[in-house]
Amino acid sequence: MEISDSVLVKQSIEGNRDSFETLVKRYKDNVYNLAYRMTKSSADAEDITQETFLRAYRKLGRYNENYSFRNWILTICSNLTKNIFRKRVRRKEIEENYIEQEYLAEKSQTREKYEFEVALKKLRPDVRAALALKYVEGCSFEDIADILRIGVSAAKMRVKRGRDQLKKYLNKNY
Amino acid sequence: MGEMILGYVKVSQKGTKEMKDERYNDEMIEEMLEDSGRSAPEHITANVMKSLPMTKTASIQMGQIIEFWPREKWLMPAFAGAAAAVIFMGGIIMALGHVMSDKVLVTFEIAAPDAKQIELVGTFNSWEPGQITLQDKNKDGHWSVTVPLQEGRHEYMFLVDGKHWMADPTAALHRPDGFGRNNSIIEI
Repeated sequence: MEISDSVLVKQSIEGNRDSFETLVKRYKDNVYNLAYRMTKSSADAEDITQETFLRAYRKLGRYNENYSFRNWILTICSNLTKNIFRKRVRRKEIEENYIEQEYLAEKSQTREKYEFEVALKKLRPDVRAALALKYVEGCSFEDIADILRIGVSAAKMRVKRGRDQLKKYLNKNY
Repeated sequence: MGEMILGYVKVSQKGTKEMKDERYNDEMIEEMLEDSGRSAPEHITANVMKSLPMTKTASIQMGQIIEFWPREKWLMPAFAGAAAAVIFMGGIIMALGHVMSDKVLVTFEIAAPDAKQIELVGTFNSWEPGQITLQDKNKDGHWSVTVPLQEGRHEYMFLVDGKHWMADPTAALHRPDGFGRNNSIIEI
């Protein structure tokens, strides 16, 4: 039977590093995915994922077991990524060229997937984050609102806007 | 006037309306969004673990060891000699087969009428759940278990329904674990 997150947190607090490692393995994909969607960069996403878990480790005592650990750590990731964005200017063109090469080099990628990724990257980071949480994580609008620190209505609007914009970009050249 | 072309509808000159079949419809877009998840590289776990600071518990224990060690030079050989004597005597006692049991039966109790399961977790079982479960024998929300514990000091908490931690309200001593919770303490 899988050990619950709150037990792993307690064991981590008591000095059991294996327990924290289990938490990292359990949620690294969730964190990485959100960071990647917000930054459009796998290198940045890696750095942010590592930093997110380090911050979570330092804040373990603030975790409330009545709250989803996944949502808690995704909130840390989202806040961290937003702070990084405020301090940095994104190099848009270089990244888009990198994306194209990255995707066309992968044999398993279809043209549709490539077009999808290009269209997705045209969206604002906060909209991409909302879409990732809704469709990849399967979060409810309440969860999305919690993680991104916005209202539920704003969460719904972001998801809808994101879908509509994606559809517009993808169908634009058809 | 109206002309039907596969995928196109022309209604009239005025208010001409064209509808195209969309290559990417809502369903396709949602499917692509659902498939767009990315997995973290494997090395991230190792990198995170390597970067973790020393735990508070470990650093507190290290501090205690360091403070205990006497500064006066003559004390160190004296302690070393005393430790050697203890080890020697312990060996003799064990060889003679006169090892005394130092376990004491302790009963832990808690009132939790809404709980479905309560476990006892602490330093005596390395904070591992699934080993000591309390019983609500009279089905009145009063849970208890009796366990043999070594003499000494133990920290513990109750784990309710597999995820909620509760300190023992009847414990005389508590220790903040440094991370926002209070461990209950029993000294035997």
